[in-house]
Amino acid sequence: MKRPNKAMTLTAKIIVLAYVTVCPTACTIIKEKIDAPIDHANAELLVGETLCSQALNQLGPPAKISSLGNGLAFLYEHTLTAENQLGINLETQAVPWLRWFKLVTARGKAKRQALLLVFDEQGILQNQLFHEWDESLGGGSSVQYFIAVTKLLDTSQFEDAIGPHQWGFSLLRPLPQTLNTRQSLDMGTSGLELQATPTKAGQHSLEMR
Amino acid sequence: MKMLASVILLFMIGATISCASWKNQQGVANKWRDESGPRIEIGKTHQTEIAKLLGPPSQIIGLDDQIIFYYLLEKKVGKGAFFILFNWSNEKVTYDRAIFFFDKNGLLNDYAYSLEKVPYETPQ
Repeated sequence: MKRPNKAMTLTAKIIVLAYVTVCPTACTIIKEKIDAPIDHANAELLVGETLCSQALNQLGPPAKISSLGNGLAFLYEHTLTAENQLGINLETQAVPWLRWFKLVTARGKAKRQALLLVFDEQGILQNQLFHEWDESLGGGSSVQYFIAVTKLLDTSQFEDAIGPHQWGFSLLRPLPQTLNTRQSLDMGTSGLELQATPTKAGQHSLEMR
Repeated sequence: MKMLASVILLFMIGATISCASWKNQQGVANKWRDESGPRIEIGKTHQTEIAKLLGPPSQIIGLDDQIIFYYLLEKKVGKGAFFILFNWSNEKVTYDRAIFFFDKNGLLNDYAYSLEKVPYETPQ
C-alpha cells in the first residue's frame, strides 16, 4: 500500500485544523416586507384620461400625497429587505472562552418599487412613473455572544411612513428643523420624497442635519 | 442504552431551538373597516360626520379647493425560528389607509380604502 506523502499529510492536517477551529455557528436570514406590492401591470392608468378617483379605486390611497401648485401628486412605495448573516465560531484550545462568541458578517439588499402619479387641477392624470429596482443595503461585521441574533444593517429609513403621527414631536426637534416644518416634505403641501432619501440634499439641507 | 442516547439527543435538539413572534400597531383605529358603521356617500356625507365617525385624521392636507383627510394604521407582525446553527426571521409591515376628499363646503367628493387591510378589532 502506498504511503501518503508529506504534502498530502500537511493538506489533510490543515483541513482538519480549519474544520475544528473555524466551524460555522449561526447563519441568519432576516427579511422585512414593507407595504403591499404595487400592482402597476394590472392598473389602467392613461395619461390625459384617468381621473384621480379612478386611480384611487384601482390602487387605494397612496403612501404619500402632496398638493402641487396646480394639482396634486400621489406616491406609492413597496420595499422588501433581506439581510443575510454568516457567523463563525473561533474555537481554540489556547483561548477557551472564545467559544462563547461568534464573528458575524452581514450583507443586505432591498427590492423596491415606486409609482408616482401627478394630477392637474381637474384631477386628470398628467404624468406617471413606475420604477422597480434593487438597492444594496451595505454590509457589516461584529462580534456577538454566540446565541445572539440581531440585525447588523440599519433599515429604519424604510420604516418612517408613520410620519403624520409625529406632528407634535416635530415641534420639539432642533431649531433649524422646527423652523422648516412648513416646508417639510412630510407635511403634504411642499412636495414628496422617496423613503430613505439622504438628508444632505434638497429641502432637508435647510434643516442643517 | 440506545433509548437513553435518543432521549438525550432529542433533549439537546429541543434545548437549542427557540421560536418567537411579535406584533406592533401604531396609528389611528381603522374604524372604516367596521361594516356595521353608517354608510358613507359621495356628495352627501359631511366632513364633520367623517370626523365624528373615524376620529381625528392622521393628516389633513389643504388643496386649493379641496381638503383631504388621510387616515393611517401601521401593523407589524413578525415571526422567527432560532437555532444554534441557523436563524431566520420574517417581518411584515402592513399599512391600512383611508383617504377622503371634501369640497369647499365640506361635502365628500371622493374616498378610497387601501387594498391591503388590517382586520378591524372592536374596542372591548
